[in-house]
Amino acid sequence: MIPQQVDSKIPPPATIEFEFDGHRVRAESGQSVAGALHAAGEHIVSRSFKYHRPRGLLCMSGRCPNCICTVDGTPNVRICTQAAKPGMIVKSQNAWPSVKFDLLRIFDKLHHFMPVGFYYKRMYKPRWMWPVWEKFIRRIAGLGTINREHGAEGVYDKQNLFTDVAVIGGGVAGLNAALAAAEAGVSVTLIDEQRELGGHLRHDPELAELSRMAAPGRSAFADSPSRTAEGGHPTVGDLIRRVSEHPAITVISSAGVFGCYEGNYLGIQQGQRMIRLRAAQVIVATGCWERPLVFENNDLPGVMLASGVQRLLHLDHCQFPGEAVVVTDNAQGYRVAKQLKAAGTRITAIVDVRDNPPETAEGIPIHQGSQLLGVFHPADSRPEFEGIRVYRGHTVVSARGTRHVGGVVIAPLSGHPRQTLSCRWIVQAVGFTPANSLLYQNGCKLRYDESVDQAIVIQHAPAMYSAGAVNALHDPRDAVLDGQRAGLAAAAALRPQDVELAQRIGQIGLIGRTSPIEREAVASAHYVSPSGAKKKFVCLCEDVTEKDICDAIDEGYSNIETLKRYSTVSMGPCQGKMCQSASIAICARHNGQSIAETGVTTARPPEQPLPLGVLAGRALHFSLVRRTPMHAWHEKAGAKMGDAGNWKRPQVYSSVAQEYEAVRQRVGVIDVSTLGKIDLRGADVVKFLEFIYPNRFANLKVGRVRYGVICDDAGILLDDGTIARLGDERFFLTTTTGNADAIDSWFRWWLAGRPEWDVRMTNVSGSYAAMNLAGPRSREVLKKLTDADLSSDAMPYLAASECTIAGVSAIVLRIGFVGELGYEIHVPSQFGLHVWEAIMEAGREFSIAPFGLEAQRVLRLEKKHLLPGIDTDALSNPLEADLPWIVKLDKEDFIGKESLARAQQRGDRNKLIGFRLSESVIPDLASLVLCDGKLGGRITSCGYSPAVGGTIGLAWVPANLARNGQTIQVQVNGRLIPAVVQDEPFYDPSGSKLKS
Amino acid sequence: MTLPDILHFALVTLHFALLSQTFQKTNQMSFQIDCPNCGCRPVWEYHYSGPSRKRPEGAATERQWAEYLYNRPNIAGEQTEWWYHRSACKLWFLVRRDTRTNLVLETRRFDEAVVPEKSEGAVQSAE
Repeated sequence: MIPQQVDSKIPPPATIEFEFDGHRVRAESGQSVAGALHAAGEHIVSRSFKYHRPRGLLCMSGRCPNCICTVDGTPNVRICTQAAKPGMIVKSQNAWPSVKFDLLRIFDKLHHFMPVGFYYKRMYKPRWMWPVWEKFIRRIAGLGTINREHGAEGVYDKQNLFTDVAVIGGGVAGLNAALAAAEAGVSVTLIDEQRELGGHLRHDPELAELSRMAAPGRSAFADSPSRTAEGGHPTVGDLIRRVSEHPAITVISSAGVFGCYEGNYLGIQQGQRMIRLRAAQVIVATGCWERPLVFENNDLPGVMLASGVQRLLHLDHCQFPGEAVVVTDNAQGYRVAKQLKAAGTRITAIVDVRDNPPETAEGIPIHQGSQLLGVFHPADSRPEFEGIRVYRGHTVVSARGTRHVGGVVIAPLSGHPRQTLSCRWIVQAVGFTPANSLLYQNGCKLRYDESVDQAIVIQHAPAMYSAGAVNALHDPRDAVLDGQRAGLAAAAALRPQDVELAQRIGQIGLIGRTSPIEREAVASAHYVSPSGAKKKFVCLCEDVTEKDICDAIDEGYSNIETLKRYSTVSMGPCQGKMCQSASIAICARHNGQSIAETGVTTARPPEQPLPLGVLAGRALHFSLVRRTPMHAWHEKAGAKMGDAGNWKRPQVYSSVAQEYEAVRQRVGVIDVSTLGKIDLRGADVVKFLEFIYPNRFANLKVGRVRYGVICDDAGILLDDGTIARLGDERFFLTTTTGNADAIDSWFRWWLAGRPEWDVRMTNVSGSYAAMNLAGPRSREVLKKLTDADLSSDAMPYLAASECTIAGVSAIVLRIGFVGELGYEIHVPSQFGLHVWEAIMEAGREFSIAPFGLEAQRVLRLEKKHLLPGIDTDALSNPLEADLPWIVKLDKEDFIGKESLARAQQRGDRNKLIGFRLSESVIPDLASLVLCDGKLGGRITSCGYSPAVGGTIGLAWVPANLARNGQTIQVQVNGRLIPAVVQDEPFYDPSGSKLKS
Repeated sequence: MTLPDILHFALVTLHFALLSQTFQKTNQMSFQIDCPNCGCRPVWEYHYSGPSRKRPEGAATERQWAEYLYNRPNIAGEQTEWWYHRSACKLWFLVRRDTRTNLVLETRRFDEAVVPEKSEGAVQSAE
């Protein structure tokens, strides 16, 4: 975990081997793939998106698009943050035949034909050519290839976490913030995208040393036991160790926060896992990205960012053989020059953009903040700067070379005179772009501040803080204090009573910049290099040049948002991390505006490109499966199970015909435990039911059950069920399986608005198992299991009683959904299986058979019983659904009364009817009913009826066709088949079997 | 357009329709609501049921009923609305929320309410 110092002793590393484009590359263990390629002299690692120009390593931090390769079959992996593993197979992308020699480089010469937006301009005329172009473009566009057969390896997963304080970024500010918050007694989660904590300090030993120099008296830890023995601040290694070992801190490394959503809900990608972290407080300490400079051929391999060079030097232990030129406008450039020189590179020159770098009589002071690192003079004889020439007020105009940098052309900012220096490496240290998109995403207000050349937060979103370089505090000494301040503030927000915390925040005090920013109006100053014939890349992802941007602005896309969409600048894999500063600066310059006036494009998640698998990954625990108490029995009996909402229900056991016959001739039993069941008690239950249902309930006697439907205020039929009165103030009612939760919530809602009503409602859906025993011999079966009088006198049709069945107290409703003598038996679910088995045993002498949903559907269809949601939809009212007898408009107010009264006045428009088809085909559901050749209605249920000996069904038809004996036309496979409307049920129209 | 084009177009439209439906069911929003029973819980444990409105009573006109049944106020700003703690305690309660920012300003049980729209006033849209 401790960052590798440049001069520390490294144990001799074990070497491993992996494959790059078919040949073997050796790597030290722990080295990144990119580092190993650099060491092996492989400097072209990819080809650019549009022009297929060679590209080499640039940022080494997983930001830029230059090192994207396919690793072990996974496309678009940034190999600079990927540790080399033995046997890894790395392939370059976007090149044919190979990355070293790419024939598509021809596009680089054809750029005149491919200006910005060329596909809008060139390829729409003639129109018939577009399909041809499209095929061609699809073939060469895009990055990487997905293996369509296997997809990516491994499992994508999700994890939900929560924390008091989330700290995003494990740099010096983030580490201090995490530690300060944790020591204040709250739980902390620290998220860092690199493999190890430390941020910039990992690869800049001088900055790391500087971080210890923060004013010790102001430290948050001054009085805490964690203070170091020698006073002052701990070393970075100590700090990381303390953070890692702190019991209140959870570290999530190699993980990127891709979105910060409302309520401080963070989306985090860690490999193939998505972590959703809910944080009470969020501290954004994401730091900065180094920005590249825009000059001719600035995309050549060998042109690198200073921090990229440092990462290769100190993390991957690579070297830079040959000469290097450093272009800079700040102390970073001088530090890198020194470190490069120490590693054996010859520094040809330092090109300092500033006319007048801060200077003393002796020469140029090289400092970071107010800490003087040394004074550099052109004629300096000290070994670390010997032989280095400094060009002041100069900038880089052009890079020379075709496949790698061979030289550099530099010139004063005026453009002349130019001179060429020979070198192999061009190192850019020209400032930073703050990583503030998470702040924008969560609603913080930022404003561009010219004095520090970056946007600064002027108003934080609730429970959100920023610390360190995003606050333009680049000096590690300032960042230490700023991090501690943010950590304490976040902890204090959670512990408002803690006076000591407030005192400690006061102790830190205001954090000013230890030194002024030395760069002057940098962003624009850099991009004045004279226009030339060669390409100056702004956006490396999409190959957008400075000229493209200027052309787009000239064409009218002058707003930064439209400019982005038209030119595609900042829309590639780096999402503007490399090109945002430059594109804004060029847009501002070309429009004659200031940077602040130009603004920024809107920041939206995801902040980093995400594999779709991460978003789609499994979430098994969210899909609930419900099984009835008799489930195991059904499975053992060979039932084919089907889904009914979350429930598993038997569809069919043996065959529909056999089950049908058992119910009609003998006796059958079906598991109806999935029905919604609600227990209602209280003095006002009758009043409540009268209000909820269009039916009348005041006259329902104790021990009786009634069928009812529920409507909404628009008169639309929502659900049906039975309502049994078990006592004066006690009702037991059922709902359909699918609507159990909806009706539960519907009841609760109406009750919530009537707290004065005495209605106690209990949802007992899961507490009761239920089975429907039906068939001519069902009474004989049930008689064997109970002492209760089951005769038709004592228990007639639509009676409800509480009795003991097989030794278990049960609610028995004599109802007949399937049209036979039948009993719906509800027993406590723990006895469900027992009662079911007892019924099967008692019914054995009558050849009882269990029946499934499919048989039940046929049985109920013969009785013309509708299924809400299948035979009705969001336009069906009970009047039209053939249930006019249910609606009692003479009642006082009930839900839907107004609408139903109006519907009755208006008359039926459509009607649900039963029909008998003249042929024995079975039409698909939703087959059309045609009248006079026009669309008239549709079938909602149909099937073969053994009782009729033909196809029957339910259909919605215009009201004028809903007459008994009327012939309607049903479209089946394009053929019209006549059918006859029938008012009566198809089975037992008088209901004598039901009432027997 | 050729037949395959039409089919392709239909497929894309259907896919988009299904996709947007899926999104409606999943958690696009991530704010939290303070349930009077259970405390602070994420929004996807709840069911939203529209602003609290007064149900027409007595001799309401057809226009009033139509307004109540088929129009929604669609306020950009603070509104008092019904929420249901579907995945937990099954409590219906009122939330005062800023629809622009999803900032929850207040939650309370109906009987704690001191708002003018008393008792019969509240209603649920038929979804």
